[in-house]
Amino acid sequence: MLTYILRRLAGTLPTLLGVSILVFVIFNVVGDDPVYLYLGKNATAADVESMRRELGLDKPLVVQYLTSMKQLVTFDLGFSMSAREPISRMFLQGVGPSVAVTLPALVLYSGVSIVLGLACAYWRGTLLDKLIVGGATVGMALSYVAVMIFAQYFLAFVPSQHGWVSFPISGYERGFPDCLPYILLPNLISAFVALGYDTRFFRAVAVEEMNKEYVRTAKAYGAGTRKILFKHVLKNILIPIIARVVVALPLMIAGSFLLESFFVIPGLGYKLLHAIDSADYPVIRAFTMLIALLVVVANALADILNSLVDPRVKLS
Amino acid sequence: MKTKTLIVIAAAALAACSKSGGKPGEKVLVYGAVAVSGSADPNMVASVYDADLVGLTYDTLYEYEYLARPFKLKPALAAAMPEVSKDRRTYTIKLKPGIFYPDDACFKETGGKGREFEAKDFVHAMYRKADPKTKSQTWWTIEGLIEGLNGLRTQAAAKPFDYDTVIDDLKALDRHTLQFRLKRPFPQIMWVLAKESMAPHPLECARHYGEDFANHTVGLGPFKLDEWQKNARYTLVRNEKYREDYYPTEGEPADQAAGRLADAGKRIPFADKVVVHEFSQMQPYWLQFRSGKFAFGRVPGEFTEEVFKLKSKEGNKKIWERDAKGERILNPDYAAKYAYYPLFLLDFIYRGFNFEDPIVGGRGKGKKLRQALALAHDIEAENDLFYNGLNVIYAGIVPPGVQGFDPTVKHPYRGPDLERAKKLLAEAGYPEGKGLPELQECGSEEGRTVEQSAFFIKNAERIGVKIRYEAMRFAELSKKLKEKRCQIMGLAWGGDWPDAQNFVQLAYGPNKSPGSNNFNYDVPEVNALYEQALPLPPSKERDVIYQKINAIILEDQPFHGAMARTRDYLIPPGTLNFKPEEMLSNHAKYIRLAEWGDAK
Repeated sequence: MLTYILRRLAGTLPTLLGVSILVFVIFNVVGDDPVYLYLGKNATAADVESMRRELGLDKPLVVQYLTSMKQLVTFDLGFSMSAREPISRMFLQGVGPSVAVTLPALVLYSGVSIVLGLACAYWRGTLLDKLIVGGATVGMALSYVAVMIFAQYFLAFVPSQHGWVSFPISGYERGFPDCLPYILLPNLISAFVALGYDTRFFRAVAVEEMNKEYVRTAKAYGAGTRKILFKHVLKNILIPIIARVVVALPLMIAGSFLLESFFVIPGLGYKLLHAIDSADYPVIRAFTMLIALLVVVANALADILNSLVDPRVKLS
Repeated sequence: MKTKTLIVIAAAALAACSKSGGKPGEKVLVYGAVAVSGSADPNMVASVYDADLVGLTYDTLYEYEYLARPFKLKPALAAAMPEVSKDRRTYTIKLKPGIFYPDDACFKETGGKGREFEAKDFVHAMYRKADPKTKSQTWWTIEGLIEGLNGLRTQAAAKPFDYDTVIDDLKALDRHTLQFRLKRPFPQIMWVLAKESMAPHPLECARHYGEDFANHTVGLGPFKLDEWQKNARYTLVRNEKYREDYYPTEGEPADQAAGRLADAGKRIPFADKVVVHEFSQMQPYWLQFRSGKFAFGRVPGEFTEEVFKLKSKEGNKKIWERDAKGERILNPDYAAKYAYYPLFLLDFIYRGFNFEDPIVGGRGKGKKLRQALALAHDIEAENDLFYNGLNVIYAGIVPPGVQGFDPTVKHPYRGPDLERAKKLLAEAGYPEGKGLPELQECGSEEGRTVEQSAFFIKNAERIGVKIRYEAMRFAELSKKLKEKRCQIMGLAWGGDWPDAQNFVQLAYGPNKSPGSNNFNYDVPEVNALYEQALPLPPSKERDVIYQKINAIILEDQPFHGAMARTRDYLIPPGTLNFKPEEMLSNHAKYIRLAEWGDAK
């Protein structure tokens, strides 16, 4: 297993290299000039030239790329040009809120959608199946932003107007349990939005599995519904479940910028959004590499989990 | 049972969220900002939101009299107004003694105890602006004003800036006396001295924190930075070492009527703690305000119809119900909860033309083309469409609200007048647009700006002029403007200080790109008039000169416009003493709440 992990990590290097080159090209060749961002609207031509020299932007692109990579691998991430704080601190302070608004949602909607998917598959074609599929389709049709606006208004603002206990409209407090009230609604929204997609996906996987002969045999032997679903079927569909759930996590953490922006949660997505808006290349570079790394690690983790749940999967 | 317990825990958690986190009896002032601040370093103030934070945590030599309109300044850290030499170039300023910085680890010599504020701190703060290594965002405020300072900056290009150097043009005469000498008389220097970015601060602290000084305030302001969730919220606590400061005893008649003089002569600040929530989206800001969390609020444009009584709608034109004073009337729901305060900004929203461009520039064919485009455009409709008809449209470069503005001036090329526009276009050599290449307009990629430009482009098409819009982010737009690579540009200039000079300088040739004159307008006659007016304080004599400049500009049409925005503030009855004004950034020290409570 250790050899596999090491080999897998080594295998990530070309991916990370590719991502780093892509990000570098996007922001250094075709993107905005960060000097103008940093110096602001009143910069003089001399200021611009001086800062270009200081940032090494007057050097050939290859040299600039290598310097940028050196900074990255030595964790010399530097300062954000827009937020004016060390990028490492932005990471450290952003990870907690981002995980807090995504991980519980992931657990919630994955658990619920697996159960619903299995139920649909077992009672396929019944009214229950049709209702769940219909509900999931409606959920998928709703825009993420619309759900956020609706939930913020009706579940946070309106109850507060009547003096009822309500979700906070926005904001965040660091630490547990202070963060709890602030992450409830964002998590419910994330779970609601993802539920439709995952329910349909898991239903499709489970339906295919339910057609297998072993299920029919189990039914013939008089196995109970719960046993068939959760002992046999679930076990056999774990590989696509793991692949979907584990790989979704890093993308959720870094991709929740809209949610974080609407609920003013100072997570990684919100910070990345500000950095993109401000053409803050050092932050974008560092965050993009982090996301790439997380995706690669999540994929490796999914492989390892698959090998644990299915002995036929070898980590060689 | 388990479910019940979970419900109780969840309810308790939700109930806890309505608390501000203030200690019992603590006076907490909470409000929201519609954008985020990036730096709390006076040297790096790059937006009004940075200025708001710096204005509360640092202090300046002079400050605006809170209630006075027209604006007036009064001493803050200075003991009195400056002694000005006969040639109006040398300013000597006595400082109030016995003002101390808050304790901070950066004061190594005193073991972390805040030392006394001295004249050298102001000198060093200016040195930091001049030092190219600090990449100051605010060097422009004093660039070229104090000759010796520019000399130091030039020298620092070759060797490290020497902060121990003493120059004649800017020096501490003793611990509590400061003197500087201007290159030429510049009466606006007093407004400059009141800017947040001119706040003195201890050099040793700026050095101690380095770039992170942007996140550590060591200022003489009424509050100290306690916590900062970047892009989300900052919390300030009372600076116990803040100088003696008192609520103003004079104001306008309207202030008396609104009860804003009830606290006259009382010691300020009133609040122990200030919590400012920062937003990138308007919906959460607005909902937070409406839920009663904020001490005051600003109506975002998209909610205007919800807030004010609309009399009728004719196409895009909205006719608002107005009271005897001509102010819009709040809808009953809002009138029951808030007082309305319209704030007219000192703004210059314009669409400029690169005066150096061979097609749209110059005073020949380009001038007629610009005049034709002005006549093709319908600025009233633009105001109705994109600003709910609330902007103030004015002729020329001097906005309403500053001395020098003349409301009787009529715009000679105010559209829409398509017949005249077509005639001028033909005179320019492009009958019905024939022979005229497609023009290029640069601007922000922000949705409303893009739509506004689409409206302008549609109007131009009516006379046969084709324009393509290039939407870009700020950094790219800034670069293109500085490199004079935009033919047409949709921009806005917010006043830095309430003086017509701050706007007229936009048409001064030597200020052209990379300076503030983005349309690169450079006409010797205008330049000479500007230089003639520069040493003059606001006066009839200066107004006459500015009106001459205005008339030339209106004929030349280097820009279309102009408009100034109106901000709509809503103030709950429990918020006392709040008088909106965006030239000031230290309102929080004057505001008192009728009831300081957890919910506020």
